[in-house]
This record gives sequence, structure tokens and C-alpha cells, in this order.
Amino acid sequence: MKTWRQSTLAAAIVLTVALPFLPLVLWSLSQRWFFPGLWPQQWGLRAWQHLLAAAGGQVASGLLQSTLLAAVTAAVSLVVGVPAGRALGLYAFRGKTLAAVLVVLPLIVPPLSVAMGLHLWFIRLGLAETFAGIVLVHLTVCLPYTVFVMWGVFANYDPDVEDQAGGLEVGRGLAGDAASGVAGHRGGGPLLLSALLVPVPEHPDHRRGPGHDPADPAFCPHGQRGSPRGGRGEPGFRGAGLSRAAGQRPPPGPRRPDGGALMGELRLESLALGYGPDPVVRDLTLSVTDGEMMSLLGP
Amino acid sequence: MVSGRKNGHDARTRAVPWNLRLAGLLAPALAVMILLFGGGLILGALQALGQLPGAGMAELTTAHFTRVITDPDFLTSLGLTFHIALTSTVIAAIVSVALALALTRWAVRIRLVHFVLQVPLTVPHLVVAVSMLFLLAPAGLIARLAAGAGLIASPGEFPLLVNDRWAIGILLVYVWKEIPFITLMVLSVLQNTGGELIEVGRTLKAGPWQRLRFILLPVIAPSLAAACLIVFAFTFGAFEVPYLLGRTYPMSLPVWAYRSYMDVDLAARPEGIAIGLIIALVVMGAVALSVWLNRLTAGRGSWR
Repeated sequence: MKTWRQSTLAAAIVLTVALPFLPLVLWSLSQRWFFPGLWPQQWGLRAWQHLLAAAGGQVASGLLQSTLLAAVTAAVSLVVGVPAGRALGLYAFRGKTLAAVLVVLPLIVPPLSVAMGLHLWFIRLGLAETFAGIVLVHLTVCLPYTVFVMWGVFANYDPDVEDQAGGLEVGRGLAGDAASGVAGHRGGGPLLLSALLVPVPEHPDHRRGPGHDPADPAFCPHGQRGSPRGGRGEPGFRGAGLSRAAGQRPPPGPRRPDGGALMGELRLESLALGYGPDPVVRDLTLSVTDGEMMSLLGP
Repeated sequence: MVSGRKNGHDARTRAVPWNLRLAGLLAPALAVMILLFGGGLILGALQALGQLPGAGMAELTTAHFTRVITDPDFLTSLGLTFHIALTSTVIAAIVSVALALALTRWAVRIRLVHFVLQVPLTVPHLVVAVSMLFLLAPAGLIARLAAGAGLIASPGEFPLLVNDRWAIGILLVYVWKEIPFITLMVLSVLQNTGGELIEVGRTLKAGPWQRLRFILLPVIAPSLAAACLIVFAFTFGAFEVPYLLGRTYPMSLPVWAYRSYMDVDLAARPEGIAIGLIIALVVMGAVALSVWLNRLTAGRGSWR
């Protein structure tokens, strides 16, 4: 009974999604297809031949142009948008409401209204009908989306994870994994778009061990960020954070493609840690294997 | 890399440049948005107010706006646009909630369904509009099926579903596109919290209707409302689908704006921009209204 319902629902969804593609495929393969006929009276590849042979150059250049346009727009959106999303997701500051309105409004106001105003000025600046101009116009929508989605991701994100990774001298790859583990696992936040638009993270490379990879300053801004939520500089908190990180529990989200847990072994080599000018841990070397629990208790 | 010494150093200098760091994170994005989005609106408003740069019209005039608003077709177009946006949003929301509930309740293999549901998100509206034309037109695939079943004898007997009075073709495109969007938004909440709360409700002997009304709807309400707002704003302002599947008269507001802007008569351009700004105002007004309503009901606690 239950499985019957399940498969009916799944089939209905698949059919409904597939239905609009059916006439497109059929028409592209038909040569003659007059009214009452349910199938084309004459099949043929003329449309495809025209597309691939006669108009091939045009199609290829158009495809290349579109791909470049999308790639450049996405790249610029990410470079500019991720830091802003991070700022909005992690920090409370004066004027945040204004910044939020600035981010949300372009998502609500139709691009048509904005683009018509920009058009004349783009013509005068020589930007109209140029690659750069089209990227800029796309940014009016793509950048707010990026900021919005990243805002949702960072709102669910604990920057201490990065600190712990940084403090343990974990390389960039693992710090990123830990971070996406947190962000990916706790899906529905205040801004649910994040859960929708960010797919379950894939992790092609987990083998990078500690020390093999220079810590990326962008991913491990250790000690450079003034997080109002972090409670940094409180020895008790830091101690707890350290023991949590050293406790070797892989984040629940990401899995290796082979199904294994995130890390097999954690090695610390000549670790040093301190609060302000006071060193607490100096030259600590130890290794923790899979399944082993380990905690370092702070002073 | 991170030694105790360096850590301490950073901790001491951190307090001062915090605002600067924040500004550094935010400024590039905000600058681009103010310049492109704000600039686009302001420059558009200037043109709609009669300031054609280079044309030497220095005086501000609201003539373009009044000409649009007093146009006998304006109210019809506004009504049509509201009909398209509201109807498609409401239908998509109802189907999406039912679909999300069914999917969680019957624990359908989520991975496959999630994948299939994401397909429509990636298909451009134009492609869907063209395929709807092939499906629903008087000589389309469905009409051929009806002819095969002996229901109609000629294409003329098939009910008009595209370029029709009630904008059925447009609504179908939007519903097909937006149901997956809203469903995925609702599903993400339901999967995180819905199940456990429903169990709690069951142990407290809540009936099915009570569980829906007092547990599920409040849980999904915020994300459902956000998704509906986005869908409404989009469908109110997009011109491609009504351009392709709508009637030539009356036009929806975005189609009217696009036609005026693209008119061979350059003097019609400010009018098109004025319509575009009116669309923007309506959409912003709708969003402000819903935010205000939300605050009102939130202040009252539970609404009954």
C-alpha cells in the first residue's frame, strides 16, 4: 500500500517534469507532422543537421559566448558576493538592516525595470552590446543572489570551526571541509534559500594531511576577526574549543566518496597555542587514530 | 603557521580595525549594487520624468506617468498582471505544500525526487513557454490526443489554452516552473524539524487536522511566505512568458513596458520606463505590505 503510493507519486513527479520536453524532442526529429497525426508523418534529422552543420559555426560561437558570460558573471559574483554574505551572516553591526534591504531589493524588483534605466547610460559609456556590459547587467541580479545565499550559509556557520582547524595547523582543504560540513549539515536557517541552492557538498580531495598545505589566509583568518559571537580571548571557551576539536569527531555532514569518515588519523606536530602573550601549549606532538577519543583540557 | 606568539599579536591589534574589516567585506558588493541597481532605478526615473540626456529637455515632467496611468487600458493591464502573478503563486503554493507533505509522509526516496525536482529550476522560462505552445496550441500534442480519441474533429474545436483570455498557458508555465522551487523550500524545513514535532503532536493526541493546522503550517509558514513573495515578485515583473503566450490585447504590464521601450518611436521610451517603475513600485509595495502584516500577526502571538 505504502510502496504503491510512493511509486505513484514519484512517477507522477517524473512524468510532469518530463512532459514539456516531449514535444521539443519530437518536433526536433520530425520532417513533416500535420494535425491529426500523433507521430510525425516523416521523421528526419534536418533540424539537427542544420544546427550542427550549416549553422554550426554560429551555434558554437554562441555557445562559447554564453558559457564565457555565465562563467565570468559567476566568478565575479562569488569573489564580490561571498565576503559580503559572510559579513551579513556572522556579524551584527549598525546599518545591517540597510545593507539587508540593499541585498534583497534587487531580488524583488524586476530586472526589466532596472535594465531599461541602465540601457541609455550603457550606450553612452560604450558598454551596451559589449561583453563587459552584459556581465554588469547580469550582476544586478546574480550578485544579490550570491550574497543572499551565502548569508544563509554563514548564518548557520560557526567560525570557531575555522579557528580550530587553523589552531591545529590543518591545511586549507580540511578547514574548508569542516566548514562546509557545518554549513551543509544544518540546512534550514533563517534564510532557507541556502538549503535549496547549495547542494550537498562533494569532497573530491580529503587526503591532504596536516602540514602539506599552506594555511590559506582567506580560510583561516586566525586571530584577525572580531567575532561578536565568538567570545574570543576567554580562556575557558578556548580551552573547550580546543578539546572539542582535538576530540576527533568528524563533522557529521561530509563523507568521503568511498563512504569512509572524514579523517583517518590526526597528527599534531610541534603545536603551540597561547592566549595573548601567554603560551599554554608549546611544542606538542601527538597522533590520534580513528575511533579514539582525545581531549586536551585547558588551564 | 599559527604560533602562539602570532596569535597573541593578532588578538591585540584586532579591536581597532574591526569596522574597517567589515567595510572591506561588504563594500565591494554594496558598491556594485548601489551603482548598478540604485543607479539603474534613478537613471530610469530621470528618463521617465522627461530628462532625456542630450535631448535638452531640462524640465521635470510627470506627463509620461500620467499618460500611462490615465490610459484606458492601464487598469485592465494591471488587473491581468495581478491575475497572472497571484493565481500562479497561489496554485503553486497549494500544490507545493501538499506535495511536500506527501513526500515527507510517505518517505519517498528523497534523493531521486530531489534531483528530478531540481530539473525545472534549471530550465529557462522561454524553453518551457515554447514547449507549452507545442503542447497546448489548437494543433498541439494534446489537441492531437483529443482528436485521436474522437473528442474533437478539427483544431478549431479545441479550447483555446494559449494566447487565451484567462492566461491559462502563462499560468501553466509559471506553475510548472515554481512548484519545484516552493516545494524544495518547504521540504528543507520539514525535513529538519517537521517529523519530530509531528511525533510530539501524535503523542499528545492531536488529530490530523490539528497536526496540520497547529504544527505543520506554523513550521513551514516563514519559508513558504518567503518563497511565495519571490515567486509573486518574479511573475509580476517578467515579460517573456506573457510576451509569447499572452494575447496581443490586453497586454500584461511587463509586456507593455517592453513593447513601449522597444518601439521604433523613441519618444515612447520614457513611457516604457515609467511602466517599468510602476511595476517595481507595485512589487515593492506588495513586499512591504506582507512584511508589515507579518509583524502585525507576530506581535499578536498566535493568530486564530
